[in-house]
This record gives sequence, structure tokens and C-alpha cells, in this order.
Amino acid sequence: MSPNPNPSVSDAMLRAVPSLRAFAISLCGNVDRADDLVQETLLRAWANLSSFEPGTNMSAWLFTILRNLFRSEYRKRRREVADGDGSYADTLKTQPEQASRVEFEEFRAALAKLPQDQREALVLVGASGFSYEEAAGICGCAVGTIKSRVNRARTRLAELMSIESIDDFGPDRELKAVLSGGGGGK
Amino acid sequence: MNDHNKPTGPKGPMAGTMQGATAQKRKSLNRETQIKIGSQLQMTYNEVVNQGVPDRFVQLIRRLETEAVEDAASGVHAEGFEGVKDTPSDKGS
Repeated sequence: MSPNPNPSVSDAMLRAVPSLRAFAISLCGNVDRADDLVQETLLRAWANLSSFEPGTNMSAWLFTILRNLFRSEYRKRRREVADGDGSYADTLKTQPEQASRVEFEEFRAALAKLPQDQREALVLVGASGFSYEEAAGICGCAVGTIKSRVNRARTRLAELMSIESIDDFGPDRELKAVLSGGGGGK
Repeated sequence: MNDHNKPTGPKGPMAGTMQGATAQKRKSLNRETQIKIGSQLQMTYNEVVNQGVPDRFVQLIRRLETEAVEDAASGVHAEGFEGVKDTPSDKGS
């Protein structure tokens, strides 16, 4: 075990940075804080390289570290609510097309409303491309737990988005009746 | 037997009372929403991924590499990195 930096290790770390940032932003909703989290993750990983098992998934390892750092930081400053304001979208270099811009904002708002457990599970599986098994490893829970969190997240998002975008589907008396609280059935 | 009229039998107490059209509409609305959710999620994520690696992280890794080389040259071992003692395997909660 020489301290000689292994170029493939640092390359693997750098390759993981874009998705680590995306994951971090989905966790804390703030780009600057997310970048600090990524930086701390890389420092922590570098200092603990000996605990990385060569041949295993470097990206999953880094995600695990980032998540744990976020969790411990989150516990420390719980009173601080993740800010879902413009800071995220403002930093994006390429804005989505205007037409989808509103939808994009609506989606982000809905995503931010999810409980943290569900949001991270959904992002890991639905966007980061991890398998249920890998996501379970990252979150330190059972595969079944991840599956149910992802399902609950999808259901909840569908509810939030159906309500918010109801007009997209045009007038629909049955749905409107249900949404306005009148028992639609019978 | 008029089973051939219904490829699938009633699935539960709701099956008999739910109007076919309503169920169908709800199902397609759901599917449409799910597809939307999937693509919005990936779009949100990829907006960040497509920004690539910000310079600060390239600098950081280069600095760590340089420090490691210098430490190696001056005979300091890997233990020289142990400024951070917490292990990353702390599976919180």
C-alpha cells in the first residue's frame, strides 16, 4: 500500500463528480451546499482510500460517503429547511425550453415535498441508474425497503403532479369532482 | 358460462362498481403521469450531470495527488492522510 496516488482512482473520482453533484443537489436543494458536500465527500474518500475495496463500484462507495455526510450534517442543522428556491435553477447552465420550464419547476417543487428517504431512493434508482441492490447498499437498508420507498415516492409524485397539472388534461368533470372533495363515486 | 365476455374476472370489491371508463381514464392518467415523472426526474438530474466537472474539483484532486507525491518523496506514509478520522462506513440511521 504505497501512498502513490493511483491515477485510475483519481480519474474514477472525477468521473463520479457530475452524478455526485446531481445527487447532492437532490438531497439539499442548494447548489453551493451541494458542492461543499461533494468536496467533503472527495476529501473523506481520499483520506479513507484504504477502506475502498478495489474492484467494487467506486461510484456507489462515493455515494455512500456523501449520503452519510449529508445525514450527519442534516441531523446537526435540522432546523434549517432545504431551500427549494431559485438557487438551483439559476445555476443551471442550460435551461430547459420555455414550454417545459413551468413543468420543470412544478416537478422540482413536488420532488422537494417528498420525505427524504423516498426522495433519495427514487433518485438513486430512477436517475443515478443504481440497481435496487446498490441503492440498498448506499442507504444501508434492505432491498425491499428501497423498493417500497421508490413506489411510495412515485405514487406521491403522481398525486402531486396530477393535481398541479390537472388543467393539462382539459375539462374533466369526474376528476374535478373528485379533486374538489365531492365524493365522485356513484 | 359467459366468461368469454370478461378476459379477467373481477379483482376485488371495487371491480364491480368501478365504471370501466373511469378506471381506464384513471389508469392512462396514471401511466401518463408516471412517464412524465420518469422523464422529469432524469431531466432534472441530467441538467446537473451535463455541467460536467467544475474546475474546483479538478483542482482539488490534483492538489491531493500532488500532496501524496510530495509526502511519498519525503518519506511520509499513507498515514499522513489521517487528518480525517471518521470512517465513511458509518451507516447512519
